[in-house]
Amino acid sequence: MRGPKPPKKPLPLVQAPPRGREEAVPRLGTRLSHNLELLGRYLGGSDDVVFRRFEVAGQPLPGAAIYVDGLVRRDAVDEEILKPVMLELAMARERNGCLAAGEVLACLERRAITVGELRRTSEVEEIVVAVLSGDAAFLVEGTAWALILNTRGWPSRAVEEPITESLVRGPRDGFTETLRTNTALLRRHLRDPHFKIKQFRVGRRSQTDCALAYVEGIVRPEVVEEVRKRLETIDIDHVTETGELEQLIEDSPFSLFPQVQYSERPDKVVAGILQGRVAILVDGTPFVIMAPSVFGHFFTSPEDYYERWLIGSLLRFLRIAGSYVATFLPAIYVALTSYHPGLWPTPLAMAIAATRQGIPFPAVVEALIMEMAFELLREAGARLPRPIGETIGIVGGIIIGDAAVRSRLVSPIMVVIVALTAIASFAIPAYNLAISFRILRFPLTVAAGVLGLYGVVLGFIIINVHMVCLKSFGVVYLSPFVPYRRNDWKDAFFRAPIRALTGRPVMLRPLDRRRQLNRKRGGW
Amino acid sequence: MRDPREFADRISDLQLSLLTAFAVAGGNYLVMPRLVVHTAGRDGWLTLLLAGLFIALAAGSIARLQLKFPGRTAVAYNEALLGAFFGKVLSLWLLLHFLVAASAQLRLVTDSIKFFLLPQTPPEVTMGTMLFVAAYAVRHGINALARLAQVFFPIVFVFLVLIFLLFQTSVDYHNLLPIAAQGWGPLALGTLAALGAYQGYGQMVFTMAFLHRPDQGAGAVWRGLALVAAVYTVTYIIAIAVLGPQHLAGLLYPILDLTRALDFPALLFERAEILMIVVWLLAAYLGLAIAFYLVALGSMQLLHLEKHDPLVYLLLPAFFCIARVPANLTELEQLGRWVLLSFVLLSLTYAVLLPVVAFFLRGRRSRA
Repeated sequence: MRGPKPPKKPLPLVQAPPRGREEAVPRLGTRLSHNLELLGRYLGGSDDVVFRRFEVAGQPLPGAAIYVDGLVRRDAVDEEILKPVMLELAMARERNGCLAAGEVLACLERRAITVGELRRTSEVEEIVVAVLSGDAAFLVEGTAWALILNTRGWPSRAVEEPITESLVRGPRDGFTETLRTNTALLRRHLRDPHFKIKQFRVGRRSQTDCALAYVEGIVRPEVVEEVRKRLETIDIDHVTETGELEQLIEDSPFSLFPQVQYSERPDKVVAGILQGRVAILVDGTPFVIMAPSVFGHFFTSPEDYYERWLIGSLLRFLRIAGSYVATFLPAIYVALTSYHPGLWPTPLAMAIAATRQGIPFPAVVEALIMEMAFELLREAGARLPRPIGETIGIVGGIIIGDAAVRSRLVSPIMVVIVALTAIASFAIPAYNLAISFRILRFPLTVAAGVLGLYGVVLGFIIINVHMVCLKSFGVVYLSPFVPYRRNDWKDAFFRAPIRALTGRPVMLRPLDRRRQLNRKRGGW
Repeated sequence: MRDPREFADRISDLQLSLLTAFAVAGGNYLVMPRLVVHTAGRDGWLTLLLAGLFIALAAGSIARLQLKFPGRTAVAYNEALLGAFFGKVLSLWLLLHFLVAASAQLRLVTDSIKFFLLPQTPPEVTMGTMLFVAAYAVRHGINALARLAQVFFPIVFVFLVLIFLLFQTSVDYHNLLPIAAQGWGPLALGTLAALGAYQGYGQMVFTMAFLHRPDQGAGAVWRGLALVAAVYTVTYIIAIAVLGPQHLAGLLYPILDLTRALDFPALLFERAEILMIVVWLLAAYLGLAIAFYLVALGSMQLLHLEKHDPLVYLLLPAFFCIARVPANLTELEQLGRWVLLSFVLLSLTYAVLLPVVAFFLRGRRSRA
């Protein structure tokens, strides 16, 4: 029986199928040469795609293996497919005698091919995507089925310590660019059978593998459904980073604040999943995103939990204070020096006035220049090779800063303010939130220059109005602070002792509220 | 009339308490002692408490009335009680009252900004920016305001407690004695005057419609009023204890002048009154935004519109113009007296007249 006529038009893989019209799915036929021609239409013309023809078990029964060189484990193709099929089966032929027509594939599947994960299909597109993902396709004359054999294996980075989120204490493994490695890292932390990983593909051309990870029985099914729904609306040719995905599914794309948290650390992601959140993994990036995410999440670091509670609490408090400093310090300085110098204690006011003697600019211009210079320095240093990057720091920070002060372009106190602001912004663990604060600093400084403290207060109010209106997947962004959820305050401003953290965060409305049962401590 | 039970937004009792507190104290706190010091002198704190009690009674009555129309605002049930024409007139009066009262308070706040923060900036600028920022919150509806109240409350409250504690080094509580030296006459008069310090509790005729559990409304409003009364009383006691009644009577912005007298430990900041006004700006802003929202919401219902946000920018110039009308402080005070009169009359209407009407209406309906 011949399969349906192969399509002559451009490949449907890269063309959006017209909505509402059912396309005839191209399927394999029984003749190998026809099938190879059919697959060649998709896969031919690329030199990295290998079409290996052979004869099964020394008989005149032609077969073929198709795979992408470089995406497969070469020894797997050689040792686990070709060798048993061509040689070992030939030797065992008399004993088995199962190579009757129609049963070839089943026989090979049962007795010859030693690859662990395989499946059958006859859909051409599925075969093509599988081959391009690193699987090997195995075809034999006389059947309309192909075996898809998992032989994936490509050069990948080893599991290393994440650079962007290093800790003093805590596990040192970080996600890599391979989806399977990342799911394995998660699974190693969480042997719960309810922990589910659902895979799907995004990207019409890239066919990128993505995965949702969550614990059934903790996460609200509505949340998973909402995430899935938003992901399904995505129709884009290519996704490389969870960052792109994040922007496609977040609630308010025009907000300055990140509404989805990312991490390179399996322990952090597992903790998030156990709170009742959904993690989204994308093949090709070590960054995993978690939703819903609220403002407070961006101030936490896994170390808060690994160190004893008092230390964790103090550090968290320090970070929140740091975020205020990073956002408001230059604005307040400008407002006080230009409009309300009386607010400083007299000696300090005198000191500031003395250092500002002979400075040609008003405080607001001075602040904007310095902040701008600092942002330039940071941007210039960010992408330079490390040895040169350090030079930038020395040239910018020390030489220019010192020279600017000496030449009376800026006052030394301004340098102190800018440096303090910078350090404070580094103290925020989430880089994406730190950027928001860095940006907010500029309009606030301008407002302070125009309207003094009143301008700063207005800025504060506007930021707050914006933030109370934000939501992340149905969760109010400022929870648990606002609306007040007292149960969750144990793990918000400060981190209560582990024994007191008996429940999961109520704001995420987990199905299973209980996290630990307090039993009497044994021993002495 | 569109049934406003369709409101998707809901607020909790706690949020209603805080909204009440901010709506009442936001505009009045800065000048509150001035209202009572002339009549009641050193016993002003007593009159503030008594007035709070009266207002609480009125609020209880209004809450009972409101319970008969769960999920409905005053604009909706005015017509059900008084008929189409008189109902509309009452609604219009109510909205106009909120509009003028909020504008007068806006003027007061911008005047104190001019006096304490930005002497050279034209008040039109501060007024305009304040209104625009208020409009930004108002457009997002009741939930934004309720959550904003929850954000600002700890900041304002902690600051006030801190100030109260810092004052403890310079107070002389003997200033408070003797109590009721001039007899009960001035106290009664003072209580009447002190009612003005509780203007704004009337927002409940709108906000109670958003409650998750409408039967909790009275308690929520009472808690808000109790908080305000407590802050008022403590502030007044401290003001008398620090400054004495004669000195206090001569002050234009009593609270700010009072904090100026604070012996602030000059660790990082001097001049506590600037900090005071900066922190109180949050409360004043929220008070203004709540009134703004009510006017926008009421107008929306009166005009049978679907959304309130197109009205926001139409109403903005109205606030601006009314706030600019009084040429000087005397005229502003005159305006304040008219607003006070309207406030008392409206309170009587909603706390006494409408419940009576509702009672008779129900009687007639049950007979029919």
